[in-house]
Amino acid sequence: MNVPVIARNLTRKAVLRVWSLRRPFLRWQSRRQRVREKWAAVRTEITLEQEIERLTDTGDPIVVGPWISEVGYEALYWVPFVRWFRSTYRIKADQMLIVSRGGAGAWYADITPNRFEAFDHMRPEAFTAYNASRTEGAGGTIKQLEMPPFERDLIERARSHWGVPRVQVLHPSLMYRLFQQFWAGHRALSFLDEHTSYRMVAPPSEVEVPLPGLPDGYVAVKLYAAQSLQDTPETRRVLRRLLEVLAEQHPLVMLDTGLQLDDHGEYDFPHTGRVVSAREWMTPRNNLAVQSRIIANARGFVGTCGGIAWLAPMLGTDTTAVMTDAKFLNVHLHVARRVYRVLGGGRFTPFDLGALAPLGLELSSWTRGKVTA
Amino acid sequence: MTILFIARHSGYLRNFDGVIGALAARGHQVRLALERQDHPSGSPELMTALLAGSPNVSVTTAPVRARGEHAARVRQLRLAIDYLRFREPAYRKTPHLRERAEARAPEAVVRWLEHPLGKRRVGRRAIGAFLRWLEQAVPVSQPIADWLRAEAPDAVLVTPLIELGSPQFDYLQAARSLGLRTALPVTSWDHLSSKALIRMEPDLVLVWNGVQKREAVMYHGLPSTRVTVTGAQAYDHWFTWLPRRTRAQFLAERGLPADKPFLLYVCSSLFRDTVDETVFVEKWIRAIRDSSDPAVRDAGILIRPHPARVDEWSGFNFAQYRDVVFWGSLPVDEKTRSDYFDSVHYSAAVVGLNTSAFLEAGVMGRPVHTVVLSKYSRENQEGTIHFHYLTTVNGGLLHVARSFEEHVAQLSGPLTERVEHDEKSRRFTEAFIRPRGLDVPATPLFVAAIDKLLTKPARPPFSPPAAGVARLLLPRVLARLGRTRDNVPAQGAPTPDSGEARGARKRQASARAKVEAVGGVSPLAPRVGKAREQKVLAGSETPEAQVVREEVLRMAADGRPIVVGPWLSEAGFELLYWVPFVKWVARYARLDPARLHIVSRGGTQSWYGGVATHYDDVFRYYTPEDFRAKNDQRIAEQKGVLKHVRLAGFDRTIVEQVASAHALTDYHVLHPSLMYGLFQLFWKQHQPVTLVELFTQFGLIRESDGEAAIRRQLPERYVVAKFYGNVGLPATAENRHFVDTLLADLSAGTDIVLLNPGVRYDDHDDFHIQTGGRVHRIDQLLEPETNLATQTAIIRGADAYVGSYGGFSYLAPLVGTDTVTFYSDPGGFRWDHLEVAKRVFAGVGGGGFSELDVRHLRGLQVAFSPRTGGTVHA
Repeated sequence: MNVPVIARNLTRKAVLRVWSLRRPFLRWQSRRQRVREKWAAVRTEITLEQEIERLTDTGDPIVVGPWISEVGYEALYWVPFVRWFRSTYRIKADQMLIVSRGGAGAWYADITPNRFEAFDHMRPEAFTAYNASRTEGAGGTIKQLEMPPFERDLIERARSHWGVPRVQVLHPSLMYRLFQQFWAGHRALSFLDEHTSYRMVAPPSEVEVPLPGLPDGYVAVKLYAAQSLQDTPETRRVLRRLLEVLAEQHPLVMLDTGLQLDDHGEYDFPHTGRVVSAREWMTPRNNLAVQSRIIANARGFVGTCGGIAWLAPMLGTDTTAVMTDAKFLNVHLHVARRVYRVLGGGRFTPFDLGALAPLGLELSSWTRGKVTA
Repeated sequence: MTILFIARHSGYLRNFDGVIGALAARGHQVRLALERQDHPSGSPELMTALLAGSPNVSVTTAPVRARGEHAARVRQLRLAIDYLRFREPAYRKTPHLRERAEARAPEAVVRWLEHPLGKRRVGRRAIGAFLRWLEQAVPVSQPIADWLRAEAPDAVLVTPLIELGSPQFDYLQAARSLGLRTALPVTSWDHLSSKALIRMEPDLVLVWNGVQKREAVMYHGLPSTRVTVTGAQAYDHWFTWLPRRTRAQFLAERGLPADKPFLLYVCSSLFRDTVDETVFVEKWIRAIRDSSDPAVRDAGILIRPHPARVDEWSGFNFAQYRDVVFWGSLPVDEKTRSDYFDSVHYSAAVVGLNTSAFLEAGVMGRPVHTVVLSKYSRENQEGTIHFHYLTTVNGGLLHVARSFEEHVAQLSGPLTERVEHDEKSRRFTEAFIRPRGLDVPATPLFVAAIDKLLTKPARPPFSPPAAGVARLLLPRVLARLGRTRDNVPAQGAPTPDSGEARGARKRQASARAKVEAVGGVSPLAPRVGKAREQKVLAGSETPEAQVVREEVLRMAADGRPIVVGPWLSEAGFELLYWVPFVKWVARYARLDPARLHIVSRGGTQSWYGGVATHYDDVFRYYTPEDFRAKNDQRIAEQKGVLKHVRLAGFDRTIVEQVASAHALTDYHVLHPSLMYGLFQLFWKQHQPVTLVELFTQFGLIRESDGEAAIRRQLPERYVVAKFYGNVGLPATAENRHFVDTLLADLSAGTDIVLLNPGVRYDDHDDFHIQTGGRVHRIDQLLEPETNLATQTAIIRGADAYVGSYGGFSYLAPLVGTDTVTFYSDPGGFRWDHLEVAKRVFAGVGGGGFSELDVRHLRGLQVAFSPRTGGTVHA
């Protein structure tokens, strides 16, 4: 009998047994961690929904906004979210006041007629400067994830203008925080369905936004640099070619505002005879309303994928959304395509400018090109 | 006064035509609102008659809950509430009713009720109360509310209201929220006992008799003051109906012997997938014909099909029996009602299983017989509550036999000597059809009850208690209720609560420590190359996910070979989901490649990236023609579903052939249905893309041996083209012209290799493209067993790929080739696959992928031309 061997084996066995005891503990720890993380996400959503619901408890008038960030998020998510909020909690139209800028209040016409135009009460330069400083302070994001004093001040002005003693505020941060999990891919599309209500958008009327006569059958164009349409010489070359081709077939109305209200630089191409700029009709106060009206009356819209291009199909206009890199847009493209189809809106075609190069093709006009699409 | 009478379709108004006429005659405006005017069970003749009967009757279409108002999820909630009803002790003896409700109920609720607390009465009641409270907080459907406001009726009648998960509660809810008077006229005798729970109490419930009143109070909890007994207005006309032809004329028309009595067999609307009534009828005919009693044996037989089940009889050979006639249709107008009446009136006795025709036969004084055999009775007779009324109410209507012998003996009486007025029928009718007296019609009582309702003040608009809290909880609960038990089992895989699954869970627990989680950043993560913030992704804990993990670990545990597949359907799904799923399985369970036998078609081994040592091609066993025929048969077996939703007969045969070829005797099958069962949660939008992320392992398709040799037979530089007609780019004249001119222009600058094979392997039609010059075909290179491998090699060597948008086009970016695809119908395909595909291509560093809308470009009058300078290659 080899006692040392037996002792060693028994010791090894005992150690392994003891060591294996940690397994249930590890399992439990990992489960606890999972539950905690899940609960954290659910708790955030519950808290946000409670926060949203509390706005309706007092019966106070509700200021909606101020929306001062990206036009695209406003068109694709914020307006449908506000519409959902109104119908879910059965808020009366006259109990809400929309605070937006640039005449975008028109997009909310079916929700409430009450609008507060920010540029009526502040200089555009102050607005641009504030947005720039806010973006810088928020690590580069323009999204309104909280309500800083500048916006509180704007809300206070809106309240005072409205002439009510007290208001509740449906702030964009509620939506941004609520939808964050969806944009990150942690919630199904049905989550968005549960918190939005999409409808076609009526453009502002002639009375609201009078415009001079525009050429018949024009195509509206709005091209600006973005993450998905990087400003490179090749991009400029292809865009210039696109405009040439379009201008041979249709009058073009360029929606360049000449205003620097956000972080997107507009592409500025020389305007030929068939190309007119809408710049002179636009002021900071009405630029979005004017663009909406021009797009709504156009035979088509061609623009950078993002921003007002998300709105164009909801105005009923066929839209070509150009880009060079779709990876920043996939989730929004999915939402947008589905929404436009359900609504029966304008046709929406994302167009990757780099698509034709591998084929050795480039864009050409209807009459000159042999390959007619 | 305006009365809005809402019905699912016009077929339901059959039981109310007399009432509608009487209400209109009293000067009321009766607006008939049908959810579907073109419903196959509807009756245009009836509508024509109703509209012609009075100018006060008009018809309109009722709107339904709009898209975006979560109709499907609200239905799940309602199905849950209805299921709870069938868990009550009263339904203990009606297991099929319970199972039917359970099959349709959301999985979550079924699981709640399997919990020890849920099994107790108090728990069940609490869950029921909670769900009903939530249902009250479901937002009123806006289109319905707007429509009701516009219609401005004085009372809203909704029928039948009672199907499981009925969307008709939306009307009741909207009407109550607007403070309108509401009524439920019960359509038929079984509606209160076997169908949905009536909630959102209507102001008035009109029932036929005391039995139904008791059901309304006991089963549905309605206050008895709201329930009015009128009698069965549906059958008033039979009390005064007279035959329109003589017996001799009738028998001659039907081809029955004139000198003999006949039996009328009335078919029933039996529960689907329980028993086959044609089999029963065949046995019954034989029992009659084998009788020793000549009166019975020689009797004529008229079989009246159930109007909704006529198709069941298509294969029945009546010619083999003497004096058996098959005839009858839905009695909705004068002629069809006459036919129906005469067939009952002249019969010696009426026989059947369980149908409302029994009641009508009772009204007409005929003796009514049935045979109770356990096989048929368990679910369709004694397995329902209403059948017992036929045997108990006021002595019962039925002459019941427990065997064919007894039944035949019972029939001898009425066949030997005609019974003009059966006493059982009279007594039953007195209690069940006209409880206010045999000479008191129900229609005037019904009309009077409605008149009374119209004089009452409307109740104030309804709002549920603590509505805010309920609304807050509602989306969460609806999200949990997103799935029915019907679609949970991953075909062939254990259900989450099966013993097999429990065993696998235990094995999983012990195996988990040995299995490391599949790491790496998925290309589906929102930011390319960056892992998600959360470690736990949505979808990881769903029952379906558990089933998949358990099944995979079960396969991993015993070291047996695993047959993977067979994959016989779309290349796109194989590339985007199946191959990455198989790779995930192999990595998650650390499967030795030598254990795996991939089974696919066309030589796709390289797509699976070395995950398995063995690859078997279906074309080794079948010619393309055989394959197509058998695959079509598989699809037909699955009622037109192309996808591998279950292990079909053809799949099984292939697996057996593969097993036999490799001398495998004991093996597992990793069938695509396991993946379909899981990913359908994403495709149906119940789970986000994280679910796919969790169970896939994406990567580029690496070059395999022999690819270079294939490419040596092609031009040095070329663009690959594959155009075929599909739902996204149908083969219309315009699209053909587009493709022709595109290829003509492309060929001006480069060689084009067409991938369109001469042989058709799938459901797509290729475009017929002219070849010659710089456009080359590769038919000579394509063999069935290797056609996809060859195409893969050719695409890899191309400068670009151009073709129809569809699943096959996903291959090109995965071998690193830039791809441009075209479609003309954006409604023809699903965007979620495209979204996943584009994320994957970007994430794995594959070729670029663009999709262009041909029609839209045409609208802008934009065209393409060869790039000046002639450089084709990017």
